Amino acid sequence: MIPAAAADTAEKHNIDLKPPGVPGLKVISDADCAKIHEASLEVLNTTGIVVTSPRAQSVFADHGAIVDRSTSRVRLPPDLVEKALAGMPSTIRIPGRDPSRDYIMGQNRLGFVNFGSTVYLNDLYTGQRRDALKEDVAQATRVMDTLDSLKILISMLNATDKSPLTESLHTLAAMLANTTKPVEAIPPTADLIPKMARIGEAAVGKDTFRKRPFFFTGVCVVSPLQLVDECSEVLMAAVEHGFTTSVLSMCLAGGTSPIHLAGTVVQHNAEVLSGLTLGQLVKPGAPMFYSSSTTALDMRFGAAAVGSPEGALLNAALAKMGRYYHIPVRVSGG
Amino acid sequence: MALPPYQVLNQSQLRTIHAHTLDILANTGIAVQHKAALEMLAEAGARVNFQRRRVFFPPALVEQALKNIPREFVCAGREPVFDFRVAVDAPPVCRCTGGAVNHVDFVTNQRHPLTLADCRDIAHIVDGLENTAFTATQTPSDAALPVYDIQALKTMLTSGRKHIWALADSAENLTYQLEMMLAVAGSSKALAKRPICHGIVTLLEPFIFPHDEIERLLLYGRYRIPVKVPVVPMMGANAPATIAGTMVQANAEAVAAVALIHCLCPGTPTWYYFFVQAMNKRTGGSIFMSPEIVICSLALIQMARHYRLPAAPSSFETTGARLEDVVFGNGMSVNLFALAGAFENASTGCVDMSLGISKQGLVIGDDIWRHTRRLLEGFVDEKDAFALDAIKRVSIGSNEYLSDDHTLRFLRREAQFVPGVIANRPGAEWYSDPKSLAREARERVADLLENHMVPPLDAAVRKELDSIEQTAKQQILNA
Repeated sequence: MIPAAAADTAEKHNIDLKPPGVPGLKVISDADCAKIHEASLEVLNTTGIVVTSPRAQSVFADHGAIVDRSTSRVRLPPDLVEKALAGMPSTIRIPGRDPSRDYIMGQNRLGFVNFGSTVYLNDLYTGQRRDALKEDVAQATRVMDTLDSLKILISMLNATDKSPLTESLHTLAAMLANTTKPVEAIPPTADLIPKMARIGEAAVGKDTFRKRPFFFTGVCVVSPLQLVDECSEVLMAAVEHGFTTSVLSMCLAGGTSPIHLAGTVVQHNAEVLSGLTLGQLVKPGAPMFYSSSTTALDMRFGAAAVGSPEGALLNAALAKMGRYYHIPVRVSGG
Repeated sequence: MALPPYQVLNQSQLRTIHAHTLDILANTGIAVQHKAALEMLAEAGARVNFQRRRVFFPPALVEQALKNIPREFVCAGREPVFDFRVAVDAPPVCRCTGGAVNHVDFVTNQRHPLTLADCRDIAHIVDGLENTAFTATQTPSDAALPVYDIQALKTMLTSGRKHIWALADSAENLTYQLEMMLAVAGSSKALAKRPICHGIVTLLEPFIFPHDEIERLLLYGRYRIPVKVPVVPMMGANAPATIAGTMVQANAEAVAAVALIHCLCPGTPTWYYFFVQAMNKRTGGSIFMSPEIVICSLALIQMARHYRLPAAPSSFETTGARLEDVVFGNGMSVNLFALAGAFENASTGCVDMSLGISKQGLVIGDDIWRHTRRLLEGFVDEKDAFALDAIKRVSIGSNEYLSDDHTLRFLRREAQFVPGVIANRPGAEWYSDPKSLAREARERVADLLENHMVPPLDAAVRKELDSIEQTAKQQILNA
């Protein structure tokens, strides 16, 4: 039985509450989704989020958010968030450099992406761990280009032999030269976004790249509830350049989010909604998707318990939240 | 909050499979190669062609059988602490494999013919494993072939306290196994109330019940001992090549077994047990796990739940012998089968085309099931679990939860998974002692064999078991 309040919320947002008995994995029910959504709105409205970027603060303020500039805390009214969600595309096409390798994301489609942004490499020939080089990025990309299951690519490695200021540009260039699949670019600062666009334009021409930008960008909210500059500034620049943008959170239950998994789902959801809202305020209808690398804190090692049952439960629930909002979703599989 | 079951069939598909099942049982029928059983089935309301030894079940009789089959029963250990409830809504369990003819070592990558000493070790190891509910008898090569099943059961009864799936080679041998069960249980009444073993009646695909299997069924029924009827379709060989066709055949066979038990030994508990395979089109051999097998099995689990029968699939991958393949296969299948609502998940330790068992694999399988059990527990969804106050307090204050009161108060309220041999250690720690999973499991096996204590059976019972074994040898070997 779906509570009336939850049903009203769903109806308001044109959310399709599926009847019971529909096949599939249901870690949380549609009623649970509605509860989590309401709880997330309450968090964003009463606790708010820390937004360090003055420009992002202004974007939020211009659309009715309550901004306390002395503490950098921004409180988002529920209708602001819901309006932003309502305008998001439910299906997005992430272009590849080769159009036959475009990845269409959303609804019932399933694809895989590699793990990324690691800084060490176990050398194939010596078996020893060492820093990753730009040449390693190129080689790894060539391998991944041939793997059919990987539909979009993140840089598996970072080109740590280059300056930290330009490392992400070198990484991107090495990938671009070795794959025609869509490539995720993860720049640490917003000023790199136009430079990345220049790389793309150099490869296929300005007009072609602007019509089909084959880079997409991932940003990560800092838990708990902080849209730092590296997230909000990059996000705004990427959206303005037409890049598909993923908003990720990496809560650690018991460390940077509540020990109870339900609480972590609420916080994660609130964090991602804050980023998605910012992007939609900057450019309504911009292609964006919902992401998670959330898991539990492994209390033995103080490390992320990646691949744990808690991580599986969390990401199954968060995948369901993305579907509840009818927006594409990407979660960490282990 | 326990997770709702994962479903692959919609209601229309489920009803279709059931309707086809009724049609097959009424119009195609099953072969029962046992004259007395044919007469009993006719008396119970089945249509019987005595000349062709074929039985046709009217839909009403099938529905009645499905309604009357026991919904809940107990599988007992030697001590009540090892008892577990069998029911569609009971906490799911995993069990060790049975019938293995070889032992496989993951460290040396060698195999040897399984021995009675291995049977002893297996019972002992399973006794000490936290997450494995029960064990099964194996096929020792150093036992006398005509009585290997009797010797294997005696060895395992004396070496562990957990419930045993006792595989029997013939109805004659089963009589000696039953004597052993009675010796340990104390009386036939005690055995019926707390059966320390359960049995097996094998169906030949498709739809054939041989004479000796029916003899065994009648024997199990006499003592109310729960019995499994393995449904073992091989897609493309003795079952249709399509997934849906195999679903229908397997379901019809599982339901036929229920109808048979209902008519021949009413009140005897059973499972909805199946082990779907596929024929390897390149070699003609068996494949025991593949995406197609998983889909078919998930549908059959759903059918079992529909009938309110405890589903007992082969959830663990058993084709390969390379440890990486085994762990990958199990990672792909066990969670899914359990999430779909399988009650009994077989078979830990099983490798090498279902012919081998690995003691290290028992430890690894137990650890995989530990992971799955935690997953099945889901998460706490009570009001405080949403932690809105904590989110506010931490977000505005310390920015971390480790020292927050909410974490301290709720740490024990929701299960926190602690891995075993599959430890997921951070690289920095693992590099300092890069032990393989196989070696880690070998150490755990050695630890269990050396330090886990299994109290011995009463001396008088041991003596009686010896006597039964000797009698069996004299009678069967000299026959």
